[in-house]
Amino acid sequence: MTAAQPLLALQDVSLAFRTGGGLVRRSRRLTVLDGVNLEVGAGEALGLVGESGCGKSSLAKTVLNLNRPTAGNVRYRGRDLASCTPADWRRLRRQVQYIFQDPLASLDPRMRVLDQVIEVLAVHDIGPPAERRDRALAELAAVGLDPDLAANYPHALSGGQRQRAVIARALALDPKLLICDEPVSALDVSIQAQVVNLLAELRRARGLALLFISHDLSLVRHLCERVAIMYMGRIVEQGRVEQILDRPLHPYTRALVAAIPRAEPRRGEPPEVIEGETPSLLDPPAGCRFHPRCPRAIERCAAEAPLLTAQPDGRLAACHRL
Amino acid sequence: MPVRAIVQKLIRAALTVLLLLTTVFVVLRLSGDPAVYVLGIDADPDALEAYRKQHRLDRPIHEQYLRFLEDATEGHFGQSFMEGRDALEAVMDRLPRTLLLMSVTLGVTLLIGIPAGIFSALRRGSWMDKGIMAVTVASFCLPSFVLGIFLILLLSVTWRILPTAGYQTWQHMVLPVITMATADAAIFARFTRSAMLEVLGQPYMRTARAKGLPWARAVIRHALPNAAIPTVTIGGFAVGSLIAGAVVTESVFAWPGVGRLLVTSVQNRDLPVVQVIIVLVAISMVTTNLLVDLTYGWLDPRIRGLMGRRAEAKP
Amino acid sequence: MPSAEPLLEIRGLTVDFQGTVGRLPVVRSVDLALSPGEILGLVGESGSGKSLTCLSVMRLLPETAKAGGQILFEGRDLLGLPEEELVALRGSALAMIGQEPASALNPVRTIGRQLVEALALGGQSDRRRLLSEAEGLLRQVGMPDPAARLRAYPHQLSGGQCQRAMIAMMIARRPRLLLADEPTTALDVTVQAQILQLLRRLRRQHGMAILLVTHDLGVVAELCDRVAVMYAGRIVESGTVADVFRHPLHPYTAGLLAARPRIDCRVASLASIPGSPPRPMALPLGCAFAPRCFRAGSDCAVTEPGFALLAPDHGTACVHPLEALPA
Repeated sequence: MTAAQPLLALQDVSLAFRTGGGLVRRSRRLTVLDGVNLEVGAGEALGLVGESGCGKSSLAKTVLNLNRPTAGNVRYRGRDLASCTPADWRRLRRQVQYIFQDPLASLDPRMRVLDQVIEVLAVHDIGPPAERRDRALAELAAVGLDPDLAANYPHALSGGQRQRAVIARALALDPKLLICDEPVSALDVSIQAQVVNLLAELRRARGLALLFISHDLSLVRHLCERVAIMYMGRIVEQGRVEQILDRPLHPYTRALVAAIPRAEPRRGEPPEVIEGETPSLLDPPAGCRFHPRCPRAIERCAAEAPLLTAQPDGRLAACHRL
Repeated sequence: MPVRAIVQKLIRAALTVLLLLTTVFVVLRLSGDPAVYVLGIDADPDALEAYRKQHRLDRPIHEQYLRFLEDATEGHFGQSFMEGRDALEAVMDRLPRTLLLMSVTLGVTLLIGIPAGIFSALRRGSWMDKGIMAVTVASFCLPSFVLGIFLILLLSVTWRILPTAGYQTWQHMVLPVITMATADAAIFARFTRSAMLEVLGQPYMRTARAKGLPWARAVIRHALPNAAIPTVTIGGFAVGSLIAGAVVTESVFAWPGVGRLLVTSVQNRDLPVVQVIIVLVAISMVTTNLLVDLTYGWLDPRIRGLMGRRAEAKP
Repeated sequence: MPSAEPLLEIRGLTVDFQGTVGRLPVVRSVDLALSPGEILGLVGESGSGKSLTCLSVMRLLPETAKAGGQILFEGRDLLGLPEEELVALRGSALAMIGQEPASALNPVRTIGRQLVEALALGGQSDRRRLLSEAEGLLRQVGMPDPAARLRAYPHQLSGGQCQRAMIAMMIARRPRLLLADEPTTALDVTVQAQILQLLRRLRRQHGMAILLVTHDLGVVAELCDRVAVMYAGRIVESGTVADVFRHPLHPYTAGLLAARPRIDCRVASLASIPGSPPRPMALPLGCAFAPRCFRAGSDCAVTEPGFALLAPDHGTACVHPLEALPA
C-alpha cells in the first residue's frame, strides 16, 4: 500500500437491491456487492477479475455514481462521492473517465467521430474554441486514427477503430483515472492486442491510473500491476499480479487460473475443473459464498464468511483454509 | 399458472368495470340535466320537477351514485323511451343477432387472415406474398362503410344475388360479414406474417432442422406455437374492432342488432339504453383483455413465470 | 497422415451471398479433412467464413447463400443430396451446436419435450422410455438434477446448462460428427472448461469427431488434435496442433499466436497484427493477408498463393512461409 492517498478508494462498499415485491409476496434482497474494499493509487493499474454475476460491472457503475452504495463509501482523492455537488461532479468527470465494452453503443451514431471528441472538449470548456479541433485531431492521432478516419461516422469504422475513438474521447480530458469495463472483449483477437498495447502505452506516457475490469486473466496479467478477484459480490483475493496468477491461494482463483485454456498444447490430462455454476444472487450460500463448489470446504465455511486477511507474502485472501 | 396471479387479474378487471360505471355516471350527469334532455327544453317546470323526483335526481350526488351502482348490478338501468320497456331487456333482445354476426365474422377473419399470413411468410418475397400483402393494404385502407355500400350496389342491386337488408336467412349475413371481415382479416394477415417471419429467423428454428426435423414439421412444432403469442395480442384488438365495426355495418345493412340500436338510441337520446350498451361494451372488452392476458400465460412460460411478481433485477 | 478413411472431406467449398449488388464470395475455397474420432479446430476471426463452413456441412445456410464445391461425408457429397436424405442424416450422423444456446432452444417447450423430440426421430415411440432416455442424456452431459431439468424451460436454465441441454439434444442419436460453432464463446471461463471437458469425454466415449470453430487459440490447444486457420474465406494453414503451434508457417498464424497475452508471463508489448481483417466486399488483389503481412513481397499482391504441403501433415497457402523445421 502506498503511503500517499490512493486516487480511488472503496471502503466496505455494499450494494443491494430489493426485488420481486408484490401485493402478497415480500420483496427479496439482492446483494450485488458485499463489503468491497479496493484502492487504486495514482498511476497504478488494478485489474478486477470475475465471471458473470460477480458484480464487477455494478462496481464500475457505483464508482461512476450510477448506483448509490447501500453501505460504505467511495472516495476519490479522499472526497466522498456521495457528498459531491453537481459542480464537483463536473470537475470529477474530467478526472475519471470510462470505457465500456461495446464501442458502437458508446458512440453517437449520428455524429462524426471527430465531432464527438470536440464536443467533449466543448462541454468541459477546455481551451479556446479555435484550438479544440486541433486538440481533438491530436488525441485521435495519438490513438492511431488519422484525420481521414476521424472524419467518419462510427458505423463506417471497424470495431478496433471505434474503440480507439472511444479511448481518444475519454483521454481528451486528460483524466487521472480510466475505468475500463471489458474494453476489448467484443474485438477480434488480433485487434485486441492492438488496443491493449495502445492502452499500455498511453498509460505509460500519461501516468494514467487504470481500473481494468475483465474476465480475461491473461489480459489483466499483461496490463496491470495488481489484481482483485471477485466472486458473488465479494473480493476473495487481492495482490500483485504475479503472486496471484503464478501462485493462486484462494480455491476460486485456482479454479479460474486452471480453467484458462493453455497457451501451449497440453501434455497429459488437464487439471480438474470445478463443478457447478455460480448460484443465483437471490439465494446466495451462507457463510463463504464459494463453499458449495469448493474442493477444500469444511464445516466452518458454511457457517462463517471468511474475512479478507493479509497473508505472509503481502496479498489479501478470504479463506478459512489458509 | 399461479392462482394468485389469476385472482389479481380478476380483481383488476372488476375494478376496471367499476371505474367504467363511474365514468358513465359522471359523464351522463355532466352532459346536462337528464330531465331537460328527456322532456325537452321548454317543458313545463312542474313536469321537469316530477321527472327529477321520480328518477331521484334531486338527491345528493353520492346517494345517486350508490343507487346507480346498486341498480346497475341488478340490471336496472331504467326504461327505454323509444320502446317503453326495460332498457336492459331491449338490448338483450338484440344481442344474439349481433353476437351471431360477430362470431361468424371473427371465424371468417381468423380462417382467412391467419393462414394467409403464414403462407406469405413461408413464401416470403414470392409473387404470392407480394400479392397478398398488396391486397391487405388495399383492404384495410378501404373504409368499411364504403366497401359495404359498394357491395350492396354490386351484388344486391345490380346483380341481385344477395339481399340488401334484413336478417332472416344466411344470405343476409354474407355481405355484412364480408364487409367487416375484410379489413380485420387483412390486419391479421399482416401481423401473422411479421410474427412468423420473426420466428422463422430465430436460432431455434435452425436447431430444429439440425436435429433432423423436416422443414414442415419444424414449422408446425416450433414456429407456429411461438408465432401464436403476438398473434393473440391482435386477437384482443380484433374483438374491439368488431364491436366498433358492428355499429357501422349494422347501420349500413339494417341488421337489427345492438350496434344499430346504439345509433338510434343516441339519435333519440334514449339514455338508459345508451348506458346499457356502454356498460356492455366495457364488460366485453375487459373480459376479452383478461382472456388474452391469461392466454399469454398459457402460451408463454416466460410470462407465466413473471406473473404475480414484478420483473426481477438481473444480477 | 490420418490413418483411417476420412469421415468428412471438404473439397473446394465456396459460399456466395446473393445480394442486390451481385454475388459476394465469403468462403472462397476451403479444403478440409476430418478423420473419425478426430477433433479439428477451425480458427479464424470475424469475416473469415468459418461459421458458414460449418453451416454448409449441415446445409443450413441462409436462403441468400449458395454453396459450391464438394462436401463428402462418408463418401457421399452432401451438397448434391436431395433434401430428404439430408434430413435423415441430420441428428443421426451429423449434429451441430452453436454459440448462443439460450436462444437456440425453443422458449415455449420444456427441455424434456425438446429432447424427446430428438430421440423420437430415432424411431422409438414409447413415451416413458423416451423420457428416461432423455434423463440419461442429461446426466451424461453433466446436467445437475436431470429429472427436474426435464420439466424446466430454457429461460430457467443458465448459459452453461443450456449448452449442456443442446449438446444432449444433438448427441441423442449418437452422431458421428459434431460441428461446434463457438460453443463456449458466450460462457464464463470456468463453465467453458467444463464444456470442453465434456466434449473431450464424449469423443472418448463415443468416438465422435468434432469440428470445432473458434477464434480462441487457447481452446484449440486444449482440445484439438489438428487445426486449420482461416483468413478471408480460405484456409491459410493446417496441420497438427503441435506442429502449427510450435512452427507456424503462415505469417497470420504466427501473428495470432504472438498476439495472445500469456497467463504465465508478461511481455513488454503484445505482438499485434496491424490493420484489420478485410471485408468480403473489399478483398485485396492477390494474397488477402498481404496488406498486413510483415513478410509480404511484391509478388504477394499479384496472385493468390495456392495451398501446399511443406511437411507430411502441415501445409500453408503462402509464398513466403516461415521456416518449417524438418519433421
